[in-house]
Amino acid sequence: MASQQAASGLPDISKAEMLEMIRTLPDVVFRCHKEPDGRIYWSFNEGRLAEEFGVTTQEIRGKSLEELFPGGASEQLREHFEAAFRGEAQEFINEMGGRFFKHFPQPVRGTDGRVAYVVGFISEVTHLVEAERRLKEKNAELEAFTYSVSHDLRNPLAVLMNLTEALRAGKDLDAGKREKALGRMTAVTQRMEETIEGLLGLSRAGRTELERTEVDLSGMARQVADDLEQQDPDRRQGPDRQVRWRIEPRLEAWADAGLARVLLENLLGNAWKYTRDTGSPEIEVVAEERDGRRWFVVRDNGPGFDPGIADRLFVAFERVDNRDIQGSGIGLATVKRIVERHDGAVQADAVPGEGSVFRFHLGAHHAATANRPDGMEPA
Amino acid sequence: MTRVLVADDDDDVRESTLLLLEAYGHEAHAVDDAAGVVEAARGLRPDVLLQDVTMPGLDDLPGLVRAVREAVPGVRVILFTGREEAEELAAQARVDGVVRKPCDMDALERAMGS
Repeated sequence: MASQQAASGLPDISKAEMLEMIRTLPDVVFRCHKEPDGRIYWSFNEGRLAEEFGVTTQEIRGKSLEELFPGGASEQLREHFEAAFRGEAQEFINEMGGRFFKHFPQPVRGTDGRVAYVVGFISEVTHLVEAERRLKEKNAELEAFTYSVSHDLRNPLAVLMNLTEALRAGKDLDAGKREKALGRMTAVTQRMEETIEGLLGLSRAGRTELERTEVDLSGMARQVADDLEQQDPDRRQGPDRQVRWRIEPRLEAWADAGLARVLLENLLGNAWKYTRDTGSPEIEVVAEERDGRRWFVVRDNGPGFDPGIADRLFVAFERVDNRDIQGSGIGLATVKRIVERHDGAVQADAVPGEGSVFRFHLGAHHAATANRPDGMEPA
Repeated sequence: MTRVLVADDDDDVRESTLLLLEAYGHEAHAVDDAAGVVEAARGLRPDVLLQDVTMPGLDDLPGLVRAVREAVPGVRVILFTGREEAEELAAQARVDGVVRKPCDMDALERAMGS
């Protein structure tokens, strides 16, 4: 017994226990050697990753680099392993079958000072590589966004500067023109304010804590529709100008109520704006089953858009048609951010001249709420 | 007094530029779509065309500039732009000048040669 107790009082670790420890690690721990003819071969390879790939010591003992990593992979690996055998420790990442692995080969020197063999470990870093890729994408998006924001804010500023300068220099401009200039200045300033409000909304949609509750989307859609009607009473004029709303009853979502409201305000607000010149305008809010999932659908019979640019609609400031329709170009980017916060998705579709369709879902939770045992009706 | 044709699809930019030009004592006219530029130029025979570079339907800026020059020999064509890459566009389209939005009236007067 005494021989198995180290000075510290802790038990010695047996060879079998050590092997067991290594086999429990999620990675690969390896040892390899180099023959005078340059052949690099393995003498040890253990760990859960080695087991997963069927390359434990028992399976690969004595096998060469080329046998272990067939195809082009061995060429890249050889370079790094050669360096390790020269005494240089080099970390590197390689890709195999869409997964990424980080290698840490370390030279071990014998008593003569020469590299006797190389040990190291291999860890899977697929999640890190993917996170980095997403981060790069997001950064590029952010940069494009900043560029667009700057341009969109510069335009109204340019107009304000033109008009200020015109009023300053044009003392002889008649009263009507001066009045028109002032009116335009007010309108442009309001639009800048709307743009900034939109940007704050977009930012809020990304920042606020998500609190899912049972949301009565039908009731919410009716409220949004009422608000639109009240803000723009002129639309009620004339028998074929009034919007016919069709809101399916009892649409429920497991969602953040505040964000769901912003989402509906944007989608219904767009449908409202874009049916402005449509005879007998109709806006519909319904649910559809698609790909085994319940999607909420906002459909209008406005002018629609070219379906080829559907994805661009969700990029902030990529306004597709700004000739006649006022808008900040941020609404659909906000919608996208809201559905993404819910782990959901949004799609746009259209037939030019016949209308637009926006479909969204708010994550995997609907099914659970649809089958709630208490059978509670929405408020 | 210079007769200027402003081609810009943005209502605010177009109208405010017209007013600015008028305030500076010029005769200013406007056209709001790319397809109408040559015809408007032919009718008005402006001294200067102030041409926005991002109008809908404007796919071939050098072509448009050539057509305007054919219709109105001697017209000065000035690009009106908020974009940074304007110099390259100006070189391609062989125009007489570039004015950045917002419109600096001194720069515009210089470009118009007035």
